[in-house]
Amino acid sequence: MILQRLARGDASVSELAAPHDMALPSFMGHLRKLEEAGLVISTKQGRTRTCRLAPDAFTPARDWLTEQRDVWEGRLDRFDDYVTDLMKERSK
Amino acid sequence: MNLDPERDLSFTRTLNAPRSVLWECWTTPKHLMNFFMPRPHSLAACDIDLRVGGRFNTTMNVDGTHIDNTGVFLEIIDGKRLVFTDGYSEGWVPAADPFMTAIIEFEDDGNGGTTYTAIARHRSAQARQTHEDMGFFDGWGTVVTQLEEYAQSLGR
Repeated sequence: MILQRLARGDASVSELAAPHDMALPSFMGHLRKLEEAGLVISTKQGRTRTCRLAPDAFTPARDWLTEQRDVWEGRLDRFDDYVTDLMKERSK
Repeated sequence: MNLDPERDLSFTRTLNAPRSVLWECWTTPKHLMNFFMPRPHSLAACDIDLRVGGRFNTTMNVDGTHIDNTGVFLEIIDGKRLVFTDGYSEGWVPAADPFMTAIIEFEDDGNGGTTYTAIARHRSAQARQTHEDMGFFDGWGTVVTQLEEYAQSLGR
């Protein structure tokens, strides 16, 4: 599997194609689909095309730190509101 | 304090209330229950023993499911600084899956208000990622296979 191999590190096209019993042009077709889907990035240097996994290929839509940021920001907003109300009530 | 942008969060805001009131709100369950969780979720229970090593336990009500969180206070400077963690529960029992330390600070702003700072420090992103990827070879492999199949089925 192409992506599983790339998850272990960058690889050249020929390296990627080697375990597959497939003509190079059809293999390139598969690779192109992965690139179009934004999962693989390839760069050409001389005669070698090197592929790597796109950095956010497997990142969940929202990472855990963003989630924590939302938790704390929301908490701060509610804290602000609550304290403001409390102060109003106590000044009555 | 050196914060790591990969795993620490810091929030500062000036609040229009004296330190004593903010402190009271952060250390009293009946107040905490009003702002700790985002609606429609809530805190079903909150149990505080305000001393170093004392419990800071909360029960979250998320869509009717109760989730218990246990923690302890690590540092208490009355009216100024509150530090707690889920890394231990009362009696200094180490947690199976510690995640964070929270540091809450209150400082007079000189105009009757308070500069409020909340810092959340998390276990390393890598540790967390490793944890999430447990069963790497099964789970990850399946995801990769499905993703690959899906991508190729797009067939543009």
